[in-house]
Amino acid sequence: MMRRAVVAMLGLSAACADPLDQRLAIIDQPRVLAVIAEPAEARPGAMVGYSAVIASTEGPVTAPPSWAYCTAPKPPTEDNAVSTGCIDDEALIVLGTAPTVTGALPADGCIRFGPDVPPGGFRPRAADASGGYYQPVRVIADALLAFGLSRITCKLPTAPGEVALAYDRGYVANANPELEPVSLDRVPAETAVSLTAAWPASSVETYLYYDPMSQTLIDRREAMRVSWFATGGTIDVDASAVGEDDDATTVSTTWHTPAAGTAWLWFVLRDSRGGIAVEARSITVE
Amino acid sequence: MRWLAGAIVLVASTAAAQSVATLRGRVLERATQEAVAGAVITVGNELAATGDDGTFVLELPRGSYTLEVSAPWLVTSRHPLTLEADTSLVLEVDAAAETGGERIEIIDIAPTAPGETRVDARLARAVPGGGDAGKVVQSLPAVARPPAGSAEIVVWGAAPRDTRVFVDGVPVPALYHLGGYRAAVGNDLVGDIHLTPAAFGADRGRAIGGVIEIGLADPATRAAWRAQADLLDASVSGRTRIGPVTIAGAVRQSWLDRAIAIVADPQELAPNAPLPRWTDAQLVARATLGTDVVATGWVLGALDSLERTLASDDPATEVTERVDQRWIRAQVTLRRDTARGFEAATLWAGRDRTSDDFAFGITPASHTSVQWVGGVRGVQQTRLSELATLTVGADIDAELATLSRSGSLTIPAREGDPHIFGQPPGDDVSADRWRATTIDAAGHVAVDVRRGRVTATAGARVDAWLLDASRLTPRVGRTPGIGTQQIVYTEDPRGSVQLRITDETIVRIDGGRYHQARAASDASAVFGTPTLGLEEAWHVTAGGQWRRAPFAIEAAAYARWLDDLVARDLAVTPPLAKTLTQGGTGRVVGVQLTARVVGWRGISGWLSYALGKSTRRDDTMQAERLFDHDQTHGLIAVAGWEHGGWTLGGRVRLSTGEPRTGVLGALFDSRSGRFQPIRGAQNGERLPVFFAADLRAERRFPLGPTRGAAYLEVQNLTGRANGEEIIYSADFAQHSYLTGLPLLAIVGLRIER
Repeated sequence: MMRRAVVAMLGLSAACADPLDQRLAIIDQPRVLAVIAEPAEARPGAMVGYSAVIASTEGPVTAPPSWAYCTAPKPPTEDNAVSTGCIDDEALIVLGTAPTVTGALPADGCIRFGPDVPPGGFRPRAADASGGYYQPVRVIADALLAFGLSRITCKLPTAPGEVALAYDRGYVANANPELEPVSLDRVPAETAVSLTAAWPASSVETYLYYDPMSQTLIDRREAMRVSWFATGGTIDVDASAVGEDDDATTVSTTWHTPAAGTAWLWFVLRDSRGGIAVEARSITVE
Repeated sequence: MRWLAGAIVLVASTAAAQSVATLRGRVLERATQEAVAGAVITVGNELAATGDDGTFVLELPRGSYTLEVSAPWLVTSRHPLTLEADTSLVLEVDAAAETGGERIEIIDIAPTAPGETRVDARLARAVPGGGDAGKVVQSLPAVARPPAGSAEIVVWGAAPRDTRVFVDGVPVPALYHLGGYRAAVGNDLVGDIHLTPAAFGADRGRAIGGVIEIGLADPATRAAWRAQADLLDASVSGRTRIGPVTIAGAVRQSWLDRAIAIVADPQELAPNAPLPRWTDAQLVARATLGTDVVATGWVLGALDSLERTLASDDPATEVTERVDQRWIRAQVTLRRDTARGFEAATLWAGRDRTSDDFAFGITPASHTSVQWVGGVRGVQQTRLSELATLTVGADIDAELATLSRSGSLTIPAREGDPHIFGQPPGDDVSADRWRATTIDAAGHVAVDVRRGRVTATAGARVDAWLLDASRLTPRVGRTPGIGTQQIVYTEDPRGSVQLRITDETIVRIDGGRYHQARAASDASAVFGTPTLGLEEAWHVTAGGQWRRAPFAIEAAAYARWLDDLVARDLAVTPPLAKTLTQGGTGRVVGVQLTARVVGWRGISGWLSYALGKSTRRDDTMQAERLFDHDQTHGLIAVAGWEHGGWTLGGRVRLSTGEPRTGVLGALFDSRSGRFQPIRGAQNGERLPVFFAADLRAERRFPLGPTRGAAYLEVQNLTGRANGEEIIYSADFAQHSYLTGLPLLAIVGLRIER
């Protein structure tokens, strides 16, 4: 009663009202869940393979998507991960239409998307929070538009010379993490079931990071994050994370299962350097 | 402030004939022989109000009049008067039967320059807004309706940074505490509030928008002590006298967040509503030195902090923010009134500190700035003859700023950024530390000339600016930085012409050129451009006023042309150390109609409608777009009614929603696992129309040897769900509105003696 009085008095309840669905965990229409690059990080010019994980209410979608590299960098004032030029067909290197494709990373990736700049005194692009630069890869599957961001290894032209040299010698490119196989096959209908995603400790890599404020190199561990998806029922959270300072190699959540039938589960594990692993599982709900 | 009020009255009082005489007076309470501040002086159709020291000045054609002294707490007195030459009077008045508590008064019935408004703090406190004097600014004509939770002021289409806030002529960094619940300049010691939305005089500079002046009251006119508490905060103030020095002090501490935490977790209760903590304190001393010099000194300070977490079902989109802001100002002013005018000198100094640590998922951003500021100013006003008055002055302002920042270029967002509410900022991380110095030395002169029905003011302001930044290029290791310095001279003409058509009707036009320096935060070699210079604006206002006490009607038209505005370089790869340009331009045009009433059957207030358009162009190659805070229509009605021991205040606001950038679709970003919007035309949509009606009631009563008052304020009486932001579903396929407060009720108690 007291609480309701205070809420009414301050009128705060409406300030938090959000009538829209902010959740992505339940697959109620076809959706791209992940775009996986193999290897997860490579130097410009290297060959990289790509595959997409596309989900629908009936399970994985196998129709081959169309692939293309985008060569349009985004302005530094752009919040989106990719330029609007990547949405239009203006600046593309077509890779083909297939479930998986392989293509050479554009050789000028560190100029277009990294810290190298053309002559004339331009502002180098800033790295992301893990020190990475990324080549956009466009995926179109029917009406779905998605982008993978393939991490590219660049030098540190803006760092002090000795720091740049140490980085070049010591940095190890990212590798995709691995997920332990999911052991779930059958679950009771309309009950709470614990979901657990696990990965080997070796999937959490330590890497050199250039701190732009101190302009020194520091060792960091990857943070890990698992996104949970199901074709029915509800899941308590969209994603669960393990921070850089946390040694845990598992995360869990609760799946409130749907009515009897067949359901699909996807676990998408991302490391903080852009590496991705996916486990998909058909579940019998009974 | 008194001399400014005097100057305004002087300019406004164009005589109907060439034979004009000056009437100077002082009003004293008969029983105590203390000065009466805020009494309304009516002579014919001329109005004035007594200042803190009980004095007033009027310019009148020679002749016979009846002078009336009135105020709700006074027995109205009338005095026959024959004005044949410059005259000085001392008027004694009697206090009305005591009912205790505060009473409403308005200092000026109608503004002098188009759009100009001056409100006494006591009326300001009666207007719904939490009983806080400074909050009235958000209800003044010419001020756009602020978004819920905003501490920013938009005056006639000017960006918040373009409007400067002064306290007794000293610039302060913010009018409001974080969250906008309260004014940062206390409450109990505020005397009056004066808004000049555009085309201000030569004595003010360093702003291309408007000017807000907070005048502190004479401490001798404050209550001996006062304590006030309501749901938001508690405050105490007191006054004492030590020898010839009258000292008043006040302190206020918020408890809003703790009051809520008693009954619920604020994060769970209202994650989107900022619940900051604030503290402010003021200490004012005033003494008369000799016979004609008044010395005033004060120290003001404000502390704000805010910690909040916007929890999410996905840790990658959880937002945490920790803000800490504090500022302090101190000043000493000496003022001497002479038979032909006055002269005043002020020395002031202060320090501002702001830190903001922000994290969106694992993407961090932080911003810290420490600024030492100070200045000196002097002004002298002299009546040269019956027809002319000369005002000359000089001032120096200095700011030494040390800043550090890390994170994305788009945190914090700038005006003109096509941001979608709820969208994560860019995850690029840059970092920089830099220093920036801004020094401006200026001189100004203005001559007021009256001739027949015409009054003209010709003025000019000449500034010499020193702009310094510590690094011309980004830091690389320990390589010494090469700084940049520039010295810029500006000459800004200012002027006005006023024609008195009849005793009740005047028309007036004001205009001038204005400059302001780039912000120190924009002088980074990584996040900004160290070589940025000055932004420029031309203002023109024109209007007419009709007034017959106690009513006044004003029509005003305004236009601003903005040039050299600091704006983003929208290039895909901007030049090194030049992510900001000065290629921005802007245009602001509009009209405003205002009707006012002062003390008619105890009612004071105003009704105002504004129609305007404010546009910007970030680059000559870009299309013109709407200013982020553009509001086409704005209607506001404010009234206070005093009757017996009751004071009732009401406010009705109706305004166009602000522009927003729409969303055409979305794409999936596999790295973040989130959707990202595909934007439509920048500022191509608008929020829904805003409407709110608010009410405030106060009952005063004797309480033993003290006086008490209880008040209740209800904001948004109709409970209308006003859309404050467009919000989207996670895949941007659906949208709705984040609504403001449906109802806000504040109860409080005040005791004073």
